[in-house]
Amino acid sequence: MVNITLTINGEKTSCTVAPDEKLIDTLRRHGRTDVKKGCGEGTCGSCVVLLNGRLVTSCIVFSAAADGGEILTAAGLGTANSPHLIQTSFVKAGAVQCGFCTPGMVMAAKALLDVVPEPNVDQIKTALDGNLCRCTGYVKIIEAVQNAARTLGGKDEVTHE
Amino acid sequence: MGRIQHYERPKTVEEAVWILAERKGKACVLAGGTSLALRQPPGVDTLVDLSRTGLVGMVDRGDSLAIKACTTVADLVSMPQAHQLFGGLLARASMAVASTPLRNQITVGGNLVQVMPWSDLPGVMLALNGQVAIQGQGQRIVPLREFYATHPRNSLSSDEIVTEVRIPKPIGRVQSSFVKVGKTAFDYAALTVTAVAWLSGNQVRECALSLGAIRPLPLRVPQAEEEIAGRIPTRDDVIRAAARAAGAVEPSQDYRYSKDYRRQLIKVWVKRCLHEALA
Repeated sequence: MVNITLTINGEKTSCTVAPDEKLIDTLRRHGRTDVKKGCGEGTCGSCVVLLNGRLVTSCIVFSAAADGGEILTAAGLGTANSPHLIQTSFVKAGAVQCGFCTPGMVMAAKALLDVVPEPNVDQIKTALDGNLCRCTGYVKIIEAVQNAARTLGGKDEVTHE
Repeated sequence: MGRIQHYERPKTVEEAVWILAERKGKACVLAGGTSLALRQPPGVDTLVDLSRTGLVGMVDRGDSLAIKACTTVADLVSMPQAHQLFGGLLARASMAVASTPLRNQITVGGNLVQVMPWSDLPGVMLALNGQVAIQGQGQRIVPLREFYATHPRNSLSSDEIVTEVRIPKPIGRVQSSFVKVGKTAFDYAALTVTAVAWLSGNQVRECALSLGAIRPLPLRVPQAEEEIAGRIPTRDDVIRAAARAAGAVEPSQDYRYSKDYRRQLIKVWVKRCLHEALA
């Protein structure tokens, strides 16, 4: 076993992990069940979190490799009572159906907007290229990210036509 | 969980090599981990995490540029040289790799050593006459042409680490083209083509054409290169080069793409790629 320290959503956490344990399993074991396990092989993006500010698929990150890292999950971004603007934007745009991909989508949007505050549609599509949604067809998700960018930048929202 | 019992975090490459040597084939190097997370090699009980060995970034080695092995694909995209040199080839090909989160995880060295048939960077580095530096009990520099004569997992010994890939610096004007053919943006490639032209005026001094995803390992196609090199290529030269490429290579066949279909892909895409690189 390996002893590691992670800062999860601002909270310093000591964990003992198996040497081949994946970050998603460590996070969920420590109650971070907002991180969703989909494919388990890095393809679907439902498990993405920010690790030291970078978007990673936590299902194929070795927990031991993340030792000392700062992790942000969707629940760390905002909660039901105090949602982040990106999360509010997803709700407003109706960019959700079953909701399983949403935490990952929100984190991918966060990773984009941290670096590119005013993305165009192509940049949004590239930023979400690792996140699959099997319900909605992406139109409203892209609109939600556009709106989040506009709101964060103090501009009017784009309305769905 | 699996058979992995130990996790080592060496601070230097030398220390990593020492652990690998001491564990005698039972230790495996961990870089980005995107392959290792899905498939652990048989008989391995120790992971050797290279993330603290300082193998990140680009270094000037005089006549070549070295990209250190643990540089992620996203790191590479963020380097100005990836956009400036070789007509932006490194940036363009890097952006074709997998998805945004995976580009944050996959390392250049990992992509070159693990080399899946559909990997994007091996063919590109091969076209750029790249060499890998390998650290074991000593150091050896191996041209990628040699490195990809067999799968690296068979030629690297268990205590060796690829520490960097060296790309000869561009001389004169260099133009390039890269294409990844697949059914969607995230799909495994059915074919990747890299074309590079080193120019003197209008004349192509040297031409490199590499193909990926059609055989287990990427390959150069000298039969097509010789139709272009040393000339001011015409449209007919390009068409002839594409036909020779399609004839020279025996594509792999799988349930998605037949041999004939892949051959046709080569003919069409080599033509387009060379055309773009020579424009």
